[in-house]
Amino acid sequence: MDKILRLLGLKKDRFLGIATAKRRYDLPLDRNAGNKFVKILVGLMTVLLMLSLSGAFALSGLAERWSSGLEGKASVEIPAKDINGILLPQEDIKTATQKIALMLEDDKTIETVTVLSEAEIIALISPWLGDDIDTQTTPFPGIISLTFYKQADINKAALITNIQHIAPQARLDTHESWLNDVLRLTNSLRFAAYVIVLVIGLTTIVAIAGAVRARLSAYKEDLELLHLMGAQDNYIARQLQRHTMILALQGSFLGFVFGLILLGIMAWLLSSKDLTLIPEFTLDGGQKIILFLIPIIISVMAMGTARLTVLRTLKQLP
Amino acid sequence: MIKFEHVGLRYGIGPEVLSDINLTLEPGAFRFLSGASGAGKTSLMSLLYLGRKPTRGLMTIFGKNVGQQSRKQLSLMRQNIGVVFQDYRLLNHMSAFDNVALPLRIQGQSEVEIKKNVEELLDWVDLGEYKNALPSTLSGGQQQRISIARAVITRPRLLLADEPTGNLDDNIGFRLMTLFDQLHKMGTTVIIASHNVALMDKFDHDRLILDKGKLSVHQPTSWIAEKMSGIFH
Ligand SMILES: Nc1ncnc2c1ncn2[C@@H]1O[C@H](COP(=O)(O)OP(=O)(O)O)[C@@H](O)[C@H]1O
Ligand SMILES: [Mg+2]
Repeated sequence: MDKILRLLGLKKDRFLGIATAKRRYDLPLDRNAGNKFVKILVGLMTVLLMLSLSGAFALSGLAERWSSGLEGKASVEIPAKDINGILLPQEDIKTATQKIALMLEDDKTIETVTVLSEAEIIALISPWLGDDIDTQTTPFPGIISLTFYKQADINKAALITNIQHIAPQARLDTHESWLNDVLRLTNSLRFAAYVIVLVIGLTTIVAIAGAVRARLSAYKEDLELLHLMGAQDNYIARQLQRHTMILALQGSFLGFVFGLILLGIMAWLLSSKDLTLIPEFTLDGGQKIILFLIPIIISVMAMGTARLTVLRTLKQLP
Repeated sequence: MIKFEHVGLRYGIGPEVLSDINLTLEPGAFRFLSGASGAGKTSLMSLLYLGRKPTRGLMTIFGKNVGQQSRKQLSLMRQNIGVVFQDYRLLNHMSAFDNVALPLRIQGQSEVEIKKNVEELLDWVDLGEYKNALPSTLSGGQQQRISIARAVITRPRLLLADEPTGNLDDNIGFRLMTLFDQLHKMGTTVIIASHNVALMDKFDHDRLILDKGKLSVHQPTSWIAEKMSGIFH
């Protein structure tokens, strides 16, 4: 328990800077303002990484659900006006709709055919026309929603010809263009999110390398002394990398807790509204594991950066 | 053991502070290195403790050509060299004990051994009761004794001391010279830079004399003969 508290920075690490048999630091690493900097930096980077990665994951899920939800679906609209813009009697529309529905039901590539009832159509168009539509006077289009068999070899052109043979003004809408636009948008957003993840990672590496280098130049004389006593590069690097790892673990754990709280709040905000277009914010198992691994990945990255920086600095000594 | 052939050293683009140094020391030699301030004593020491690379010439230490050693081999060679720096170079955040223990820890010795040896040596240099003190709380002479203890704790094959008696009163200075003498008798090669002629005169060792970067060797007998002849003429 003591050890955990100490690792989290809630208890002072008595091993830092004090010589004991096993965990010894030859440089006064614990008495450095840079420690706080590394902790805060790693903490913030952890939060940012978690947010941007969950954003990327959520966008992946979104694109997938949208495409699978709309794929294989289409609708046929039979407008109330003919191609010349002349209003047709409601009866003609109904007959044409029935005929088309029958024709579609015979099609081998189509799985289900549903003719939308008047009430359903009103529900669809009421947002544009208001609730008090006069069903007697307002001309109603016919709408048929259909789904294709999966992997069916759809001949769209032939289908349109057949439909327009019955009602020349009828249209087939496969949602394709709309879906493509949305997919392109989510894909570029997802790409941006991954780029942000990358940038945050690189920023962390550069900043940690800078912090370690500043520390090394503060202890330049002591470092040289260890070198002259025959300390090998590895001996010195081990101390700085362990120290950096502890600081990074402390910072990233606090950042992780904070990030989880933020993600929780966001998930709650999204789920508490009746948003039909935005699917629920959920992550699959693999994505959750990656999120949970962020503090460890970032700490190992910080450790590796510290090691490389120390080794590079030491190479300047003869 | 140690061989310098036409060794030269310059700092940056400055003039050569050491030029054409030729020197051969057999194992177990004891030499004083004397010379005026600025003659290059500390610079020559830094070449010997492998803290610098010569700008020209060939350096052989422990029978090994220094220029051809890997980084790892160089650090192993450094572990066999004890150095008393002119400015002590103690680690100020560490106790006297930890400062003296540092070379042993770098060499990976057990803490049990370290405790025993370090305490014994601290007692020997009269600092037993200050083992937990930070260097900044100690006097110049006490700090110097810590740095001497740190240099000899590993029983190095080569011991280099840069003005080691500078801050010590003659009594303690003499005792430390006796310590160096004992190490020498155990087989350590010792080189002591000093300008304390009175102290050097008490010991019968050859002197290396640096003058404006040039090295010459004087044997005590010829040294005395020179003085004597100076008196008689
Ligand atoms: N790090 C250095 N950079 C540049 N010049 C130096 C450096 N150390 C010593 N020197 C110069 O080298 C010369 C010899 O100095 P040093 O070896 O310290 O002599 P000594 O120890 O005999 O007093 C002096 O002229 C000094 O100014
Ligand atoms: Mg000097």
